[in-house]
Amino acid sequence: MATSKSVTVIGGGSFGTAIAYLLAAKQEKVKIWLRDEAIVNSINTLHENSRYAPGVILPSAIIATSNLEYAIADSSLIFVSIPSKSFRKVATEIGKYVKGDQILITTTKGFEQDTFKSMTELLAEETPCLKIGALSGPNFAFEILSGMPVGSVIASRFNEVIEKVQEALGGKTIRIYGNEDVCGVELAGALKNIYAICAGIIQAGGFGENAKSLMIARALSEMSRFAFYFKANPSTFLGLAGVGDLIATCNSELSRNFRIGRKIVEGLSLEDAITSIGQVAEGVYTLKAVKEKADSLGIEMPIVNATYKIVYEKQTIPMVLEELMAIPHKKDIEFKFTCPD
Amino acid sequence: MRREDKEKATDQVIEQTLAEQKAYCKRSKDITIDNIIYDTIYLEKKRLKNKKNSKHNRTEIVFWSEMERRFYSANLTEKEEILKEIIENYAVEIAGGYNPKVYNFAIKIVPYLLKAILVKEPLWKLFSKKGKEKINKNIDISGPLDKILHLSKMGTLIVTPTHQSNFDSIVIGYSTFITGLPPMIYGAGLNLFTNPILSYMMTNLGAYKVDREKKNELYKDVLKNYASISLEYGYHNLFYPGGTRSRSGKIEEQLKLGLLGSGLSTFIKGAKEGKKRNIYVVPCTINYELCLEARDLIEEYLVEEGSRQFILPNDSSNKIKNILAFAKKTVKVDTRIAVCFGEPLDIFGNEVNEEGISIDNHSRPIDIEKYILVDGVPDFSFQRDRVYTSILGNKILKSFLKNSVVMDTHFLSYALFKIFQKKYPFSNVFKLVSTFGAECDKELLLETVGFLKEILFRKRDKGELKLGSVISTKSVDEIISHAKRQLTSYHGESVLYEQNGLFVSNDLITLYYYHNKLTPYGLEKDLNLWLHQKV
Repeated sequence: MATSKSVTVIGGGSFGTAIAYLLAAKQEKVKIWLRDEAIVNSINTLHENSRYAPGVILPSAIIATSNLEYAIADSSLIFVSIPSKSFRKVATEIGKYVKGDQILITTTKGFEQDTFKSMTELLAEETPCLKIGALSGPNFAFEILSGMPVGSVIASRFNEVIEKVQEALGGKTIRIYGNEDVCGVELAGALKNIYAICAGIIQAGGFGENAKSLMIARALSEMSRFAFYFKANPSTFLGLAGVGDLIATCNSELSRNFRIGRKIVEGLSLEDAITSIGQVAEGVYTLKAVKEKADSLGIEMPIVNATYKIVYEKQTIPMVLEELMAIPHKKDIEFKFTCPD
Repeated sequence: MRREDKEKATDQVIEQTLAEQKAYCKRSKDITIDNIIYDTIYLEKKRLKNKKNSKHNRTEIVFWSEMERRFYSANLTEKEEILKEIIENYAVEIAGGYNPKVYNFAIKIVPYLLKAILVKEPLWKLFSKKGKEKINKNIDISGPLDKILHLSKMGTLIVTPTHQSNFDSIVIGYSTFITGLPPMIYGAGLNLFTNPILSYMMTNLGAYKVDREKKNELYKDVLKNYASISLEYGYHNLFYPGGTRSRSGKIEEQLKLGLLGSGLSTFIKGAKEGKKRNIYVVPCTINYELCLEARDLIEEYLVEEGSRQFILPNDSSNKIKNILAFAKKTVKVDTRIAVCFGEPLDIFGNEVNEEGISIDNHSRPIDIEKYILVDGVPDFSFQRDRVYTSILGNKILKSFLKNSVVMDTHFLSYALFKIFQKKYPFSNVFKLVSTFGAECDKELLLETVGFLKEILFRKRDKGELKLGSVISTKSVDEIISHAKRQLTSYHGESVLYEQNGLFVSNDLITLYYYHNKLTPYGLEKDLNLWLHQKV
């Protein structure tokens, strides 16, 4: 496997395409797997993902295929960019073809709805691979495909995985930072989508920048509190996967989750908002899963609760806001980090 | 190890450890051979400083003083020689022997020894045939035994039991013997080798010496290499991955990965030499209706965890009394033990099928040699291998949870303790166990046990845990009276007695120990909700 010259991306959505685009800068051959034959043909003949990245000319090193076995064979490094809803199903298929020395990286930021398992857990359960990692951070596909500078975090317990991803992906426009806290990075990536929805609501509701900053700062506390329960490192949330991603996603129209929030304020139902986006907004599913989990574990998450009430229970924003502002005052900082002697 | 293998294996341990230490110094910018020798001598002298003046300790002091004296004037070649001598000193101390004749003789005594401890029979009946049959009834051994036996013929086993009691080695030794599993070598505390007769027996039963007071890294490396090389020679091994006995009564939550990694080392070494070595890890739980050291263990735990919040009654006569009580009571108690072997795993934590092939969760075969490739060839990788061993450790912990057998004593203690927690809302558990006594209504206990029983049955049906025979087959009334009889027969009436329609306990510490076994199963939330309506 070490002599292989190809890397693979499973999933041809906008982020999968962006990863393939970055990889093609350094790799001789980047295979991208997707089901839709029309997009496969479009990539292979016109070098364009006509549906998810129209107008972007993809390097000729990118070869699209709908044959999963071919996509996986001979690749030492495999990125999996599949929505959380169908992640396990595809992971099971991947499991048929991968060997133990191949590295699997998830780029999906979400949880499995029924089990609350993370994407790395699903890869570990459904495939024989052990060297697994998660890529996260403020990474809008559009900006990556436009060649703008970007930073990502690769989280894995294996140094080898971190090094291989840095080597394969790092380049002129992207910096890749390593982190051993896989759980923290995955939680940060998934949870921030909820707050992006909330930010969209605040923005469209005209509640101002102060309110948005208040929400983002308290979201960080909430995220750390939640993650602490799962033995993740709260300091991970101060990094690129936490605060970095939160800033980007809560302030940009490029965020699908942010747009979901905005569309709800504009009066669309959740279903119509999702349809109008046209792509998967993971935060919608994550919101439900996290709300249920936090309730069952007794973790205090007022912003998650408030967002849930607006998105799923159709409560009015002024009513929810009033409740939120009535919560007793607390200390600003919940976690203290001690400096080494 | 058999005598014919022992010398060769010991030489191999010395050679391998020395080579590793030299390679480590070469690789590392910060560590030199001087550091390794000096650290070891310093820690050994510190360990010996307060030891009593025995012949063995005097010999040790002379050895380390001599090493220190030579170290200060040595050149590099001489320092390497010193390092080799230190390693040799450790390797010779650790190396155990194995004599099939002594093994067969000793293992025949074990049932009677167990009987003396567990079965309520007069001592004169100790060696009767019926006595042996009785002990078989008291030990319930379960798990995929045929599969494990088959795998033991195709490769080398590492059995990794939970560790609750000093009797674990006897119980597991007996269990492997009567199920037809092969003999295993295992690390035993150095203190067990001080008596010449016991030392002879231990050595020939396959035990090698482990001195837990030696904390230095070099000693741990020699120990690990001894285990690894014994696997290479095909000796089935037994490690307690938790390290020491569980003080709290809880199932292990964390494992010590040092020795556990020796299976992987043997596998990689074999692959590098072109040899395929099949090594199978067999998690195993040992579950006691009564743990004979329960009270001592939980007190140690409470003192350590509770800090100032838990103050142990200052009664120096307790220890002597306990020893006498122990001798007297062991012949009175008729108690049960459940030994449950889990599904065998490979050294990466994957399950293996009947043919010994590693499989994934969809029963698809896995080529595990792929895991250890570095640039296309099998090799060691320190950081990677540490993570692999940690993955294996997590799988063992999961197996422990799934295959732990909840006994009636755990069950009753859990129900009672939760009622007391609700009824006496102290700010923490340490204050609760320090109280003199607690009581609960008989009717409430019956209802609570009934409620919990239903939850436990559901969990058992989902494969989340196992239940002992009393819980599985008896009514709520019978479970309570059986568990109460067990607890009081060994730990005394103060653990639980009935008075005016109330259940009273003046020994919450012991109840807390048995209660802890059930804490990882997430029963608390449902039970608290239920108790909220009742208490």
